[in-house]
Amino acid sequence: MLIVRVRAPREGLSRAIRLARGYVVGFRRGPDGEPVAVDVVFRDPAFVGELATKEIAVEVLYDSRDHPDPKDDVSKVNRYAEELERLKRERRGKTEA
Amino acid sequence: MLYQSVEETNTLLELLPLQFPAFCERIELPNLTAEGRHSFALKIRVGPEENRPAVLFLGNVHAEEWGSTDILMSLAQELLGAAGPQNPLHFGNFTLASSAVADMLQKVEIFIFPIVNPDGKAFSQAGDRFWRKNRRPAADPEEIGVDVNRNFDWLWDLSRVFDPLVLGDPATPEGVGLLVASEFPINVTYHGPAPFSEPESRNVRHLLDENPRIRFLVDVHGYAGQIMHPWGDDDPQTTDRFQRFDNPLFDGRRGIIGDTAYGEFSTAGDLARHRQIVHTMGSAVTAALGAVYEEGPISTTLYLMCADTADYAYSRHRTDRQLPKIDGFLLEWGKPDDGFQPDFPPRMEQIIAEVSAALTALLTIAKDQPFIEKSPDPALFGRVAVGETRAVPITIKNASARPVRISNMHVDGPGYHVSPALDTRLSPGESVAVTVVLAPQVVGPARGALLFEARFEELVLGRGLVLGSTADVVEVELQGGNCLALVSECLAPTFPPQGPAACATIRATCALLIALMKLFGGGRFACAIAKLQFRIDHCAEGNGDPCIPLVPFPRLPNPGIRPRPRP
Repeated sequence: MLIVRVRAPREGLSRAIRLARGYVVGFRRGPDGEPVAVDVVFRDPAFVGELATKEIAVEVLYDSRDHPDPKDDVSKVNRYAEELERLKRERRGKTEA
Repeated sequence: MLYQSVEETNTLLELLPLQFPAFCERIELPNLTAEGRHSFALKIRVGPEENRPAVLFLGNVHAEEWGSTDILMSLAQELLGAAGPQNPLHFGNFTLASSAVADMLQKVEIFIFPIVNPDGKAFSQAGDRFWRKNRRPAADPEEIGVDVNRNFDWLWDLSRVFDPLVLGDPATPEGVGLLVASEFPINVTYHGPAPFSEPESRNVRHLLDENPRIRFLVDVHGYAGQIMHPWGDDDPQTTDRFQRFDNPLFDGRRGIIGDTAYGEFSTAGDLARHRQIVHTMGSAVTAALGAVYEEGPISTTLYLMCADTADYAYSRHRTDRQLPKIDGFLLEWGKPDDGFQPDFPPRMEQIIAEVSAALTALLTIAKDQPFIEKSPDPALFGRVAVGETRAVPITIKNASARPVRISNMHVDGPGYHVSPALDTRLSPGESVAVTVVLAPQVVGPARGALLFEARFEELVLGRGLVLGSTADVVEVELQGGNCLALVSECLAPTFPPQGPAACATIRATCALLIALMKLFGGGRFACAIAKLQFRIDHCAEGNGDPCIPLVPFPRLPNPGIRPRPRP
């Protein structure tokens, strides 16, 4: 997956946003208020090649292939479960007493 | 450190009230998700005082923005850890002294809803890391899900309210406008089949409805490094009260940045407050670890949007004057090259620190938010001719638990005067009355507001007079005027507000008359139908403005703009 910055006239930006199915994460306007650049998320890197023309400039901001899989950064063990159970037992003990 | 899973966050939401039973409780939201998940929020309150302003922080409205949850749960643990022993708070180089922490926690209530979209988040963490929407089922797997942050009831019907140029080429249903929202399920910004069609957005609304002391909302998203205030649909403006999101006369004109045809109205006081609050949060971010977040309105800082949380929250008091004003903000953490899931150590830890600083800075502002009740609001003057005067008494009550200074009272609008223009201190529960007089000088609408500042002001032993850090700008809407209707013009009727039972009867009667007129008259009764519909729509709050032009039925296309073909 790629996050790319697309600089183009309105039609080019429109094409980029259409390809990304609206997945926009950034938007830039020129001094006249007209859109000039947009950051979009592409699930398929092939879209980058599809977009690039002489009117459309594409810059890759983020390529998931260059980063470790963030799923490795998600906790696999419930770090709070043990403490929760302990407090629940303690509470039950007090109630029964 | 690792990102919390959905299960882990839910466990922590159950654990914290057991660890800190005097300070927090878990709230179960009423709407189950499409995949049958329960959603939970946390309420943090330190001390016995119930009459205090509240703040709502939202996280993971978008599924792939995992870190929003970690930011909010980390903040919750820091606040609770500081509450009992009265510790200071440190986020990077941002510090709040223990006395300030204790003072803040005694004066504000904090709601944290860390995972608004648990189905989407679980799916994102298990498989598709760039999943954004919820998991609303669809026959076509390409069409699963709704963008929860486009499902709120504020300008939801984008093809009606926005200028067609904003939405892209009228010949196609897609285009630049996709980033605003989308009517098509295949797109990531799909707004759903109806406003509040999704359990996730209804859960947020439930929190706002059930907790009327919520006065601030921050929706925490990633990633762009921005802190923003309303509005998302156009440039904010402070001069024309008539240019409002709920005025159908401006349908088809919203969203062109920098034009003069439309700007979304805020009072000057509110716009100034929003800028100040955003700047205070931004300064806290910078103080923490040196990052600089952009500041400004949603529409021009990020991009145009509609039906989002922050704008919906702020719009509520304009749609229903009996609801409290909620200042809504959108915070996008990080910076443009972070991606949605930055490496946890070190980058996400840095982001947690800087955003925690920003949210804490907001809490120090929120604690000084007074509750002011005003009646009537709106104040209805009705039809007042040039040379006539009409007076409406308005009662102002301090509904807070602390004394409030009312100051800088003035009226904004042609022909209005207020007497007396108060500068006074109100004790808790104390009321005072002022009289607003309308004496029109010219023919035309007289739309305006009674405005004043309200700030806590307490005499504290050993410290003298202590002022609240922030003044709220309070507004009472004024409606009146006189208009000479042109032959082709159809103006709204004026009528007093009605109670629920009377409105039920009025609405039923008007609906029946409309049906009969459409059946037997069609276009001949266009103005009468529009007036009856106006009565239905505004029965509860009434109308004192005789100069509101109505869109006649059937609706005529705006000349010069091509109608947008439906697929």
